[in-house]
Amino acid sequence: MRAILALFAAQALLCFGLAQLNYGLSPLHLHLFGGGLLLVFGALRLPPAMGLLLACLGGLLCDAGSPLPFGTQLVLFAVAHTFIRRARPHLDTRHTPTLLLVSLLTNAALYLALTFFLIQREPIIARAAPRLLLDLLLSEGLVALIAPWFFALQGKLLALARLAAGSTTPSDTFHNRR
Amino acid sequence: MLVWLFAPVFVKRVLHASFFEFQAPIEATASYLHDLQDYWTLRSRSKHELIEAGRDLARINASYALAIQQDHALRAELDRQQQLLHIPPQPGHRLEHARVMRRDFSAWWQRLTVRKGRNYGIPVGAPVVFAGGVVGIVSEVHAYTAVVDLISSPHLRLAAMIEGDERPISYQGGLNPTLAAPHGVIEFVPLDISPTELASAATRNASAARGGTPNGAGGQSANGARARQLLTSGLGGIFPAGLRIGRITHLEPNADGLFQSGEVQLDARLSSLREVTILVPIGNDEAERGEGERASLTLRERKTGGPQFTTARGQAAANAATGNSTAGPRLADQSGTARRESSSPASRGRAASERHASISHTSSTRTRPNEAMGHAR
Repeated sequence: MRAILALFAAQALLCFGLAQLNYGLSPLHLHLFGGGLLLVFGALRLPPAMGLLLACLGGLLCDAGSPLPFGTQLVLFAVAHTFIRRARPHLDTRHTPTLLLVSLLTNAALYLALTFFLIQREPIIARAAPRLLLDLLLSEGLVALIAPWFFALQGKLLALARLAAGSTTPSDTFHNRR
Repeated sequence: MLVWLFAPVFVKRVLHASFFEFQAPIEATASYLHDLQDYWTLRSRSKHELIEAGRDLARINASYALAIQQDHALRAELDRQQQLLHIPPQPGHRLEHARVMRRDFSAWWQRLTVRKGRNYGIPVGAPVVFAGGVVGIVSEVHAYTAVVDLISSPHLRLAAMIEGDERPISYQGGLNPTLAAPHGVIEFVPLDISPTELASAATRNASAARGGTPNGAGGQSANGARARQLLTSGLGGIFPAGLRIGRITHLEPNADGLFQSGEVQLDARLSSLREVTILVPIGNDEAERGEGERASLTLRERKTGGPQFTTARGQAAANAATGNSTAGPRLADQSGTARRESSSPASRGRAASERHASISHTSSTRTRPNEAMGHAR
């Protein structure tokens, strides 16, 4: 439970940082999306149930500030988590570049999924394709920049939560757990 | 996923409110820190700069005060005409100035979050404006915050009209290119309307004297053609009629040949707003107050054998209850007090000056002074 709360705090920090960044970029009509970062660490480093719960919490955090039907991003994050879990045995989860690559792909997939979902509701959004593409590219650049730092932060928080819980289980048992 | 699909609605609402209110204090704190940063930035300026800025503001305030007096005179004339023709008065609004604490401007949606919510009586669907015209509509209201959908959002549609023409047309937001002003789309424009109109000589001279209008609002070309403005039509009862939405950039006939479609350039300041004004319909407030006062009026009537209007508010509440427009129009000023208009010029002048004195406190009594400043960065 402590681990979930600690990682949820990291998610909230990331959402807050992104909101402030988007606030500053709004006069330029730029928007950065970092949803992929919220669930990759939990999907690759935590047991399945904990990872899914963390992904759902991240989805609810994003849903609260969006006009989408509440739960849309929760479902998308849960689906993404499932796909990442299926690919986990084939990945070296201790390798940070692996996490980075998975984050980039997940972020792009979530962005495109949201875009297609919203275009179905309001077709006029499709006319902003150049802007959508530019926002996606900038978002991927942001994810590439901050992902290593964010994963390190989550790793530290997880270690602190385990220490606080008095757990003596080494962290390696979390890795590559099927 | 199935669990979520079949979860009760109240669970989803509770979770929505919980996760939103969890983030709101953090963002509000960041907003207050921005204000503090601006304050200390101003403190670092020289007194000479501040004196000059104060002098410029005084000139602007003087021109606004004159405009307010002219507005009072026009309103008094409008009320007199309504009384003569037995036309019910237009609904009034209470102004709530609110500070923007979050801007979420993606290509998917365009939303602002402001630092006032249910604690200031903001209702869902209230129109939001700023100095340059329409901002949007309040789409969500929470305990201390409210979310505004901008007119540049693809999810917002309005019934609008073109300046100088009363036929309604459809407006929808959604075109927000990077590093450019936001645009919207208009449809069902009659074929006889052009995107520009020839400006009169007086307008051209005034525009030249001003050195051009801000943000291309006038859009005057060298040959004197002026881009036409898109205004709110007042249909739907949300926005008062005549508020500026944007200027029409181009129109082209549809494939069916019945109407035209085109694009509207919105005010570039929409993407950098720091403060907005929410128009809270006065009917919301008076409906709540009128219920209590009708009950007390009824009790007095029973005791005395007839209606006695001891207060103007009581009379207004009774008028509202009976829908009796012949008893006199209700002048709903921005402080939310309704007065009875009488027909003598002296009393009209007194009423006008009283309204001016009350409207000098243009925001609600609960508005804090530092939130009454309106500016965009």
